[in-house]
Amino acid sequence: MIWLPLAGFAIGFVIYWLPIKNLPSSFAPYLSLATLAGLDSVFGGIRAGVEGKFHDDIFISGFVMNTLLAAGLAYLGDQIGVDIYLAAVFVLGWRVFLNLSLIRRYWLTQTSMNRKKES
Amino acid sequence: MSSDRGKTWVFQVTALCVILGALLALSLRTQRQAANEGVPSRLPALRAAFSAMKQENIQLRKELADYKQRYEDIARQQAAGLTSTKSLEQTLNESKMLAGTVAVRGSGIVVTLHDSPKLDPTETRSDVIENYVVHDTDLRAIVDELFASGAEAISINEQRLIANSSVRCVGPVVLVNSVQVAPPYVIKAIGKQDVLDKALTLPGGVADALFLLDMIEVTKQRDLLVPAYAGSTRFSVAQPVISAKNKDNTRREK
Repeated sequence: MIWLPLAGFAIGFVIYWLPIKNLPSSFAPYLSLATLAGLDSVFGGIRAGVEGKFHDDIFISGFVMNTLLAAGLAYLGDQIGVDIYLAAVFVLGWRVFLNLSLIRRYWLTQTSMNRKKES
Repeated sequence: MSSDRGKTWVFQVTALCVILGALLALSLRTQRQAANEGVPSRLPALRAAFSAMKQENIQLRKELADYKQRYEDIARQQAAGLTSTKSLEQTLNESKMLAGTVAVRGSGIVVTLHDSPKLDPTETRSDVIENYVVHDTDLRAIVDELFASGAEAISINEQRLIANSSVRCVGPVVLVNSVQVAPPYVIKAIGKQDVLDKALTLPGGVADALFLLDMIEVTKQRDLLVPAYAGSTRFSVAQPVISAKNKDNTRREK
């Protein structure tokens, strides 16, 4: 089951790797930030899923809003000369690692419980 | 983990993972493209450093002119105090005019050089465009011709040409005395007007091609002011040799 998101990821990657149309390179920092926000949402969703607290509306709206907000705020920061970019990287990165560690912990306790059941 | 509830969120996560993958790929591609175009994030910093340095340069040049003025004043005061100064001062003034450390005025010609208006704006071949813009070689050729025709003082865009002046190009700009000058290039030459004018307008002369492309204008002027050389004139290696005897003396002193 864990392969499904990974496969989706690979498909999306391949779709956009096809040479379509290049964006102006000044978009690069905002796109990276949007990617980071997307990463955060997906891991947050997985975490909510494994904890059994998953809500599809929160998940999807979170993904869209976080992605747009991260890029938009970074752009605004660039316009007014404040590095909001750094704050976004810090917060999003921190949450990605937090979510990852929680997912890992959950799966570790699951597998150990399953082993106990089997034995 | 393997409950029914688990299935629904996995599909949704998968759907968004597709978008995330696309986003990541797009981001990577744009990032790589940005790297190919040079590092744009460093450009503003470089630009700031460049303009700061330029500002400092201007400031320093002003200071230098100030110090030079003060030096001149002191020298003049000292000279006034001496008795047999008349001929000395005259020699000094002539030397200064020759060295280019004083501004001079007199009649002469003004040569204005600019890029050719005959260039087709849709032209993209750089080797063709080259023929329609003013090069450092054009400036050198004209200046040499003017000096050879008896010009006594020449400046290019207010940069006085002296014994160790240089006219060269670095990239897209022309440097005269290591100072950037931009078109239109205004060459002021003090000397016999008719001789200087003929030297440039001569058929088959150095400026022939420039006239053909409307890149040059020559006007005679009654009263021209050619500024003094503004840079440093310190000698650190060369030593004056006045006569053989003198040379021996300086050697012995060392």
